[in-house]
Amino acid sequence: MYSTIASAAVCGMEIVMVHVEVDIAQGLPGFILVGYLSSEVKEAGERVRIALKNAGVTLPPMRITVNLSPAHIKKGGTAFDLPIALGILKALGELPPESTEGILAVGELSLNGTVNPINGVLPLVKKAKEEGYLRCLVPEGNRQEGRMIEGMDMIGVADLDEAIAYLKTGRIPEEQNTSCGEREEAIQGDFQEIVGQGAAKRAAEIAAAGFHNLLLVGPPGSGKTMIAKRIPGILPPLTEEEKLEVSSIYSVAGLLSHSHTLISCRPFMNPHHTITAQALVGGGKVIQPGMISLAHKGVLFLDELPEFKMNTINLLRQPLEEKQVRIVRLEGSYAFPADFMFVGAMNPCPCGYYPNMKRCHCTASQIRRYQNHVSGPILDRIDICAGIAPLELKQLEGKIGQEDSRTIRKRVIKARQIQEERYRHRSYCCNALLPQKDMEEFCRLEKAEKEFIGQAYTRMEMSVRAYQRVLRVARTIADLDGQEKISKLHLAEALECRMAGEGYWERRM
Amino acid sequence: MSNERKEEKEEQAYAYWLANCSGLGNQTKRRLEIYAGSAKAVYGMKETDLKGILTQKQIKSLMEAGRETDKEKLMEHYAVLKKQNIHFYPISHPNYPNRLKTIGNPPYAIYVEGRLPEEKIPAVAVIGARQCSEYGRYMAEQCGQELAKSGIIVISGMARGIDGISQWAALQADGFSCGILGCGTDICYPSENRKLYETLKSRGGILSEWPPGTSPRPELFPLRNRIISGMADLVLIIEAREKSGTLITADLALEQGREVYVVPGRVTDSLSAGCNRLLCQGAGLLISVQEMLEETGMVHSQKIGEGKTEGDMKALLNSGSEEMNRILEVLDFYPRSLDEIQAESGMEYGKMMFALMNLCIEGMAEQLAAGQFIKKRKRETDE
Repeated sequence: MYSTIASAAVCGMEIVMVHVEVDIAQGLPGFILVGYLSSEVKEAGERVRIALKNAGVTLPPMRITVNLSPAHIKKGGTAFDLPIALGILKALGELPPESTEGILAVGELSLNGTVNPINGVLPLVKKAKEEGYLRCLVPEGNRQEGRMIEGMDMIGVADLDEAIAYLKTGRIPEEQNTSCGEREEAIQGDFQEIVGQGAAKRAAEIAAAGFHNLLLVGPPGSGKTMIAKRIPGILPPLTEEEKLEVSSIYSVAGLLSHSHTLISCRPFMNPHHTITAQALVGGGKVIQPGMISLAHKGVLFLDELPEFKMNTINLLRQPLEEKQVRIVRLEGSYAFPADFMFVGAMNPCPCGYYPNMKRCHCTASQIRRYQNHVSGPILDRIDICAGIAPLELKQLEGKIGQEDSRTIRKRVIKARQIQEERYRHRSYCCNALLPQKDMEEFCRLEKAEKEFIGQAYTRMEMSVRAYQRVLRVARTIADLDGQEKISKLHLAEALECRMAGEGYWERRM
Repeated sequence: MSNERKEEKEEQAYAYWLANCSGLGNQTKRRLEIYAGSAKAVYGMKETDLKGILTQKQIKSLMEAGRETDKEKLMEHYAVLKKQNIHFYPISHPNYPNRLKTIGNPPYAIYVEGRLPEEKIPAVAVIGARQCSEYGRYMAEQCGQELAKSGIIVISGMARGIDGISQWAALQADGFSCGILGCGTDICYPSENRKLYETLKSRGGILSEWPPGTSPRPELFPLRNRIISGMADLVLIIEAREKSGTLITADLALEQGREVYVVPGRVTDSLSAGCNRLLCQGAGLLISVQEMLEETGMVHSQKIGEGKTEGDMKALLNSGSEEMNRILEVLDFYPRSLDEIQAESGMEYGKMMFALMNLCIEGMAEQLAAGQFIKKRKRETDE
């Protein structure tokens, strides 16, 4: 009396196919679960036995052994309850042997037999499709989520009885809620609402067009957060593929709900500065994606950058470079995607008003100390630095007819298309990732431009890295302009938004 | 070594001892020395001799100081000072600056590293706020440089901001400058002015009334200020808030009979509030350094002084393109944001940026913070 049911486990972002093997044999009565299990899987035994009893199945006084294969991978979560129950039923002969063929089953059981939703259904179904499964038996609460993958037969079951009935007779349970919910376009605000700040808006546009990382510097209350929040609205919309990619992360993190099963707009994450390292990059006892992964394909906004702990911020170095984060644990190593646009905001000095000496009383050393709170390696990875000037009250009045996000977005999309076309044979797709070796080819300068930038290089005491950043940004500005050739005007604008010097606005003498 | 010089040296050592006696003021020490004839004689005085001249408390501290150091130790202490290359001039010494003797409460002795300013050359003290604006920075540079070019000595406190900037500018223009410290001359305070401190030591002078090793303490600085004004013939104030240390120095200067000149500022600037207040009270108004020097008779009018500040800028205006000039007109010594520059110049964003960046490359403008620009004096020599 042996049976096997296909199921799957979520390990980080990776899905591992798991076979639930059940054997019922003569011997000392007992219920044994094996296969490198974490404690919540071990508890499945009790849940399954009682849920089966309440579904009207009495377990015979025999030795029941359940093995989750492959046995060398650590398995967690509560998704194996349903397949274990089905496996026992099949081994007992309650289910026809061929009924579970080509079916992948996941779900958590309550004692009364209800099947509760689990995390990570979306990537799980995707994997099942790749593995050639045709049908997925999932909790009713996860059905809509799985539907996002086309060509997969999703069967949602509300309780154990429904699952048994389906497998016995093929009767598909009644669907309770058919509304398929894309998460509403919850873009926060429009650039139209921001009065003035032309330079900062322009910087945001350039950053969005080339997916450059951005630093906003300005006095308190000048609108840094307002601008940052509106950046997802001018980034190009997510492609279908990207939507699934982002939604998968949210699925694993358990952040998708029944009515919101697809993330369709670019995420915007702004963690508080007291955030821990685990929460930022991912980790924890049960490995969960961190803020940077939740900001995948979107914006990670760190307000009050100097307030963040230095070692927390420094963790961003590798993800910013590799666009993913790898977390290594005893049980194995987990990779989470983390391709986000980094936007930081900070005051220019502790009081926030430098260089307005009427209001700023900070000493040079105070300013330096404040700046030093921001990690150098992170600043190194920021291409664009935009200043936000305080608004005068009279500027607030009667300014209408500013550009809205939609218009800006159109330009951004155009610039992105140019980039995609240019880099179609490369592994990257935007200017921010343009490596040094390809700069010669894609950022070619004419003689006059070379002279101009050469002068700037020596007079402004730039480093080689700063020079490369300027070139990348100039490339994006030219793309926004729709021009293949980088002109002096483009270079000049790129020069303005560079970070000068060591910190960048270091007080002299 | 001749006998005379040996005696002189001995006297110096005793004066050093007296200068370091705590519990006695500058005046008292001076009076005591005159009464006894020399510092050595003061050392030799007995308690009974002092009765009637000093208070009981003063006698006690003097006697204690005398008992603690015997004659050999005294010479040793003085030798250490010599070894550090620090000159020690008590008020009775011929090298003691005459200017200082004229002030109320002159220090009993001063410590000098480098050279003392020459007596015959006029000296101007340039002072101002530590947290100065860009306008203040510009004016301090300008004044320091022009004073130096006119052969005037620049006196100041080597502090952050105006003080240090003007002194550095003077030294850059091959002038002579003297820094008056509120700590021992062997201590560089503030430490970020290390370069200035070293240059002053080698090419200018550093002066303090406090013995080497004295760390900077808040209560020492107001006392230091009287020496700054005392060492100068004229005090020039560049930027000062109302109720600032700079204004206290201005009061001291007036008490000492020094001329006070002030750089005017905008009424709305808190950093110029103190200056404007002084102007209101009748201080001299600086139009150009040259005119100020002529008015006070420090130099005789050789070059007819058109405001050089203006001339400088005019020359700049003629050098660049039309667009650059337009931007330059909008720029100020007060930081302006990109939006303001664009709105006021009325230029297209890209063109405005190009002209602005050209100005930055030429060194006529500078990016002060993200998106904030100021006009800058063209650099003549690289720092």
